[in-house]
Amino acid sequence: MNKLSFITTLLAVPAMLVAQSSGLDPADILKPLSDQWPSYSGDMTGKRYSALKQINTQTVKNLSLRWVNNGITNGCGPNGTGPATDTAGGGFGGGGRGGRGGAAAGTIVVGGLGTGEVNTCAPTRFGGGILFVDGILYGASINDVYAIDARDGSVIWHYYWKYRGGTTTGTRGPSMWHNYIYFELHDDWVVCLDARTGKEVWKKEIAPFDQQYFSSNVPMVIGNHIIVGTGNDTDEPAYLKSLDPETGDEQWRLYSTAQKPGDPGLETWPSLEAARHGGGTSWIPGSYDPDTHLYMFGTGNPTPAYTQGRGDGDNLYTSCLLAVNIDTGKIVWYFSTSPHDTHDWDSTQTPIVADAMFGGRMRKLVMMATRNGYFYVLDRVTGEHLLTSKLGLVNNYASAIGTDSPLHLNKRGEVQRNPNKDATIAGSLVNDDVLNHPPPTFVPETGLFYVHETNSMRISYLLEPDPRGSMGLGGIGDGGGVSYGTFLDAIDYTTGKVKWRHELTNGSVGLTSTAGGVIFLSNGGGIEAIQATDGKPLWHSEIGALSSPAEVFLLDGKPHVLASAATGLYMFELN
Amino acid sequence: MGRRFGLIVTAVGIGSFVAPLMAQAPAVAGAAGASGATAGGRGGRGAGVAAGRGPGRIGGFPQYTRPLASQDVLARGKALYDANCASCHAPDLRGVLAKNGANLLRSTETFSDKQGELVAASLLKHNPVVNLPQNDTLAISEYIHSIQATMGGQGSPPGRNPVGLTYNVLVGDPKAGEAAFGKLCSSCHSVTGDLKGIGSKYDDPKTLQNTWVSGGGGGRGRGGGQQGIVTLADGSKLEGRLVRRDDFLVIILLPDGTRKSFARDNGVPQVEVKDPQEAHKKMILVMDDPDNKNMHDITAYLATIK
Repeated sequence: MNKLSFITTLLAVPAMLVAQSSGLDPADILKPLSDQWPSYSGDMTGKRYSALKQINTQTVKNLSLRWVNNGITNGCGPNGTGPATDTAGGGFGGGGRGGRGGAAAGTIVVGGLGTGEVNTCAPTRFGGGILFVDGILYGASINDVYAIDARDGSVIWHYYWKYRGGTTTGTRGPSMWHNYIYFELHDDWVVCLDARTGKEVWKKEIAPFDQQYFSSNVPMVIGNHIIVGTGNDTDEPAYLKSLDPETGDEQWRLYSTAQKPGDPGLETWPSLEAARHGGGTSWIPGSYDPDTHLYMFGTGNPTPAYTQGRGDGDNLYTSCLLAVNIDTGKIVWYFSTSPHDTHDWDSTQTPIVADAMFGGRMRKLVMMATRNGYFYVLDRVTGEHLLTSKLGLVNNYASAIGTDSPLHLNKRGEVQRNPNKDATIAGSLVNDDVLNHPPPTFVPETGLFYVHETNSMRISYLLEPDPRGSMGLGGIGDGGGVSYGTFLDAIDYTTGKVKWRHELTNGSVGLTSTAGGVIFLSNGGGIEAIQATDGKPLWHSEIGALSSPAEVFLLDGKPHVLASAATGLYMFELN
Repeated sequence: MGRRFGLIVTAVGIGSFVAPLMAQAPAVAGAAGASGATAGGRGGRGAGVAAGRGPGRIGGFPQYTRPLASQDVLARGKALYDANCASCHAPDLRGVLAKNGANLLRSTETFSDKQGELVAASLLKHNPVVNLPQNDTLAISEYIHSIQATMGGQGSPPGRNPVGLTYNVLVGDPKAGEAAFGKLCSSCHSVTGDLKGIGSKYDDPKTLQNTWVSGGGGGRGRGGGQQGIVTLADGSKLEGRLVRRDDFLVIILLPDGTRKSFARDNGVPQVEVKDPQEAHKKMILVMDDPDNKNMHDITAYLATIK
């Protein structure tokens, strides 16, 4: 070693010490949700149930605002700071302008395959899960990822992706593995970023943009797997992929429908061609059981969604809860939540994994409430069906209106639709989506599964009577309808019955609960806390409707609640 | 995937886009591309894709942004397609069922094809092999691309109703509808009173059906603006228009224009909503049957009330 390099090494030591922070150990993602929020649902059970008892029915009123950052904007233009023609130097001022606390602006790292012309420098609306790891928040909007200091809300770095357009829905957020942050871009790439700088480590194409895929899912970190999914509305083959976290190389790929002769489920389609284009996209993450190595997630609707073109079979494995071995990518068991779905009822809701008493003994359960308005309990090891119950006040697509009307199930406990409630030329009066993808929560102490319920009916008209069917979501039109209100349902998982309903004014963004018996949700003028036992309102803050579900964690020894709204990012602390 | 569309817009729009757009000449295809979202009926959802379709658009899937080939090439492509491909893949590219012809609109190869290369490769693998000069396969691929450019949002193929069916909403029995009306509706409505001439007022049966099922238009999703009675902790009552009502705040506008707001604590003050549609909503629950017969019968009956 010569003298010069010795000095260099000495100088580098402090930086190296910092740089050697190990980030997030993937084993921590499997721990029950408590101090940190290291994944989409906080932990891999999907319960969204925080062990932080300090936030309870007595103390929740003591939450106070620690900071707000209402100055974060999405990037746009070639450098993220505004359109190229903006001679004022970017009036919208791109990434991470500080909040009211005078927080520092973050460094903008630019990526993407577009020109920046399609991006807009609008106020950032965070979507999906925001990670909280070692005092730093990692959150995202559709084309932008941010690292934010959880103590003052200042942006540390801002990764800006110049996207190419295409179908644009909403992001489910970023994920983390050691010092890497992963994020799916709607124009079908996944990026791996250095958590300390926001710089790209690698990026990989998930699916061909020219086949009209769009990718909004959160890359789920499970051990040494990064699970990515993608959406498609033009009937292109649907799949889930597992990638190597360090290289992005594909480990396995699971198609939702048969792609070649002999593939399982092909017998539920009229032809291989129909199966290949039959849908079942993966755009919402699932939950994981480390004991069985099963990743359980819901697949999207079959295509064409509403019309003929899929024969009369169950169209496996669309609108299904799938249990997949994480090491092999093979389906271990399936449960169809909407066999031969004809109403665009994706099964893309978060399943909840719990060990709980059922039928007089402790069972390893997975529970799910799905878009068609049904609730299921299964044995997650075997897939054995234990319970199906009906939600919704006007749910009539399979059996008559009435919460106690007899269910119409097959031998597997799956709901059998009434074909007369499919879209018809003369119109059929049928319930709308009873719920959607925003995540539910489960509180072991109450034994209640909480989920939003929307009650409305509409007339569904078939506009495409061609026996070949339409494509994607085409072929129908909605007519008149009637609304019967929106509620938070508290479901007794042992019976499937709704124990109580609490009327809501807001649409759902998802729920979060604590061991102190509190549930956080978006309602009224902003964030609200209600009592888990009976829905009694406890606390609220008028910050406007939330854009993603609230999160709970421990910062500097104090419980905190993070809320993202259209009006900014808010951090509450418990005093 | 999700879908969120305005009830009224959809209801009004239905009648306007039943006209087939099939087998359009290339020039028409380009024009249709500009209004593709409308043709789809249930158009794209993303704010980021709100810009118009068609060549020259900034951002979006390549099918909607790629330049179209010249009219000459597209005309040749159509002719070649019709001669070589249409018998199995159908004139509208969506496949002939009886021949198991693949739908080329959603084919992986046609989506990813750039300059005819994947179309040509597919023809070589085709059974029977289709031997065409490169110039012709390019023209066919350009023609296919020009049709894909007219596809509606969220996967709808171009146009609809290619088999020319008449969309008939009047499938019910007017006599049975009269009886159902008597049982379900006549306590509040009369065909010689408030519904006099309703069949003439809404001469499109679909609009008629949408309107009466909605309770006269717009029963869905109306949260604000309802009349209600607020009962304060001391038992005093206020009646007026409810501006806001949630778990923590009640705002009511009194008939004289006074606005009152109250913090709400565990349901106090109490709020009683006077939903003008309450009776209608209850009736819908009774009316609904597994084969929509009551609804169709009542529509058929109301259509006779001229």
